[in-house]
Amino acid sequence: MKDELVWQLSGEAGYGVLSSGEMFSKLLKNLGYYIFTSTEYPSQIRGGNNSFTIRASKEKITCPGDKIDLFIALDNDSIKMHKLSLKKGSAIICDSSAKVNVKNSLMIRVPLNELTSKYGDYKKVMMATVGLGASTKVLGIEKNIVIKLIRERFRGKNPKIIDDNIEAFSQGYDAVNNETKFRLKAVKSNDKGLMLINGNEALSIASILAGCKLLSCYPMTPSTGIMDYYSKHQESHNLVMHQAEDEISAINVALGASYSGVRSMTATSGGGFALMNESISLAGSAELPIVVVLGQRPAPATGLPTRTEQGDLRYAIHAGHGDFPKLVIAPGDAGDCYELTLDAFNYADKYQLPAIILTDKYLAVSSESVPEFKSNYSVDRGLIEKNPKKLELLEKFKRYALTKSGISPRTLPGTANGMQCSIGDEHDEEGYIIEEAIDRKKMMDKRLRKFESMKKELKGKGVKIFGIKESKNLIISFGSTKGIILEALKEVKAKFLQVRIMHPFPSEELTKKAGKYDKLIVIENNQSGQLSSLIDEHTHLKISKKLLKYDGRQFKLSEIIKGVRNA
Amino acid sequence: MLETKGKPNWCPGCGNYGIWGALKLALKELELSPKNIVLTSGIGCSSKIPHWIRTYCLNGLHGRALPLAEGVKIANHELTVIACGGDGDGYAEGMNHFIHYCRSNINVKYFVHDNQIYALTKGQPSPTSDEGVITKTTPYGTIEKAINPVLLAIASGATFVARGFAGDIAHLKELMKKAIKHKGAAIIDILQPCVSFNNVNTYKWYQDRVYKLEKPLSLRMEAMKVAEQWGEKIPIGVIYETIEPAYEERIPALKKSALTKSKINNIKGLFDELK
Repeated sequence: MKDELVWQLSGEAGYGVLSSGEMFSKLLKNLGYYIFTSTEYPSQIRGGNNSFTIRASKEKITCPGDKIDLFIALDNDSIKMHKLSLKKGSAIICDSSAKVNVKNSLMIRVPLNELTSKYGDYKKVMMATVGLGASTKVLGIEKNIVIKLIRERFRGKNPKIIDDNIEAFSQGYDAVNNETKFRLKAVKSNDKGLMLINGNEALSIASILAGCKLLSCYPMTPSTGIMDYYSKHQESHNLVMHQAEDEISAINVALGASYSGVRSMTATSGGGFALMNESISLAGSAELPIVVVLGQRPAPATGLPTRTEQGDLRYAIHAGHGDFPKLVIAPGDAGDCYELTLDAFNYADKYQLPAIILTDKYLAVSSESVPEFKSNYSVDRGLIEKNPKKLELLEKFKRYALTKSGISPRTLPGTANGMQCSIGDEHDEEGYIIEEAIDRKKMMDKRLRKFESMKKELKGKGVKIFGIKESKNLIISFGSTKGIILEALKEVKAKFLQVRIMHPFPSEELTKKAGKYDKLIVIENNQSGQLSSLIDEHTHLKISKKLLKYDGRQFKLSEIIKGVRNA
Repeated sequence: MLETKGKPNWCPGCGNYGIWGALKLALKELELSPKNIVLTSGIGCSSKIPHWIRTYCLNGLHGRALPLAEGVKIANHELTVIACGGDGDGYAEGMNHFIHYCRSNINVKYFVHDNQIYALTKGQPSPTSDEGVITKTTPYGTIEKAINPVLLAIASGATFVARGFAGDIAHLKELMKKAIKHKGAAIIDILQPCVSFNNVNTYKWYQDRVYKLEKPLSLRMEAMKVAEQWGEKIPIGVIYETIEPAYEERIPALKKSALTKSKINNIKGLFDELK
């Protein structure tokens, strides 16, 4: 009996590895286990190797497991590819015809091919279902619970699909002998009300709660999940998911909606973000609120489209030509995605600027079980003048009035007496194109004042400290490494500082909080140490060690533990 | 009512003045309230037009007038939304948007000031410059063939395609009114003499060639034949018109009300789905 277990389903693309994995993770969560799932897949529709990994535990967990306990190989290549990730004493469920034996692993041979030959076109997907059946038995889970889940999952589909899946599942279940070694210790059923949620979903829900009604995108991994989420909920939640012809159009449609007074968002990855850059600068000049999700993946260029990296931090901060205020925030887990997205919409509106949410593929698609998020939220739309009578008293509405805070009230189309021009050319207070040096400087200074005003409000929110053990070592990171570092804290003597706001960089807070530690260890999923370079640029702190990884994969827990110990 | 304090700074005699006059007349005669009109534009001489008509104005980047306009419209489809710009803006930098705008049939109007030259950058060829035209950057004549915007618009699925002439304000004004009243994407390619950088396609050159179509064609192939005419005879008027549901009419969320007015509901349900 085990306190926790790592389960992996692996096979060529086309076996339905991801959807079967998702179903199984939901099952384990409903049984009361804490879950963390992660997926790896290549950028192709057929072939290659897909894997879906579930770590299930009695205790709260925040990262995937490094080594696999129970492995379901839908093809022989999967065994070759993943055998180094198997724990000593693991079990492999594979096809009866598989000749291969893996040292220190129990081979559980199931006639995956034979049992599914009758399903024709669906054969491959059904092999995954048979595999689920076999692993359900190995884990000691009652058959009927899964059958109920299958019915739920395929609700509304052709009854034949449901029957076939139940049949395939049962055959897999019955094909395995009673095996007690891999059973998970029973936990109380899920009365905790846990959700199984990934970064993209948390971000999408937060945006909807924030009142974002238009998502305008061009599909790009890893942010496409946000499009899927909006598409699925457009009718029930009065949303528009606009798929544009390219990322330039996508962001401009979102900016047009923002001008009309609707909160809007676009989501992409590095390449698409590059196309959006000129328009981010337009948002800076025209002072249009906009939220841009940059789901990072390994670059340069197309890079590794379906893998993970944190190589666009500098790029996000410097996005758009020219000097203008913007906000860049970096959530570290699903909870942060939710919380910081809610904030991003308010800041974007209040300071009338682009807010960039920096995620990555790992964060976007990894699911964890968490309690339901709080849904109390107060919308701050910033300064919008809606009263035509007030506006009538003005000789002319000044869209870019030179105020002390730098924030100028805006008007929305449809408001009488509020006609104004919002513009990417340098302009005077009324929005007319100007050329004079003195007017240019005034407008630049006004925009800078907004940045200073925002900085004041963000004070105290830029970094967060974790860890209970007293230590002179401090780990510093941003983004998706958070959950792995939190688990590493159980093993190493260190505290952990998460940088949450990347721009404006929280230099004062960081100096104050990190200054008292002897050893600073910065952990980043990029080659050049972009966060480290920001710390060098903005503070006098001395970094003792940089732990960098840039092979397109997330850090393993063991790598972080070892890296911190050796620091 | 639509007048602004500032006056246009186009060259004296510029075709933009005629288009400016026609647009103001069209908006007045349709009795549209300026507060419910949004003009978007890109970059170029013509893209400055929203500054001199007192409505809501969103003057964005080169080539991006259309996506901005689409966003304005999706957010509040009760507004009259017109994208303005030149041939370089719309048919070079923004060509991708143009084609997709045509096929979307979104109820945004697109009025293109087509002077067959880049004027603000002082005289380079544009996508509508006739093949062989000699300019500063094409001393041996342009190599590429000219784009035919009206033919392209019809082929791309637009439901209202017209050509106007800046030298005939009364006619152009009527075209604009029809375009604004049309429920769906409506394009007017407007022949616009550039008195500073295009000494080939002058007022006289256009006047000698344009002829008015009596009524729009509703059969695509027939309309395309007319749209193909260029050179000795150039048709102006509504070339093609058909009725199809507009983009915003087909979006479930916009059926009840404009997005600006809709309410958020049932966040709890979104959490429950993940349990």
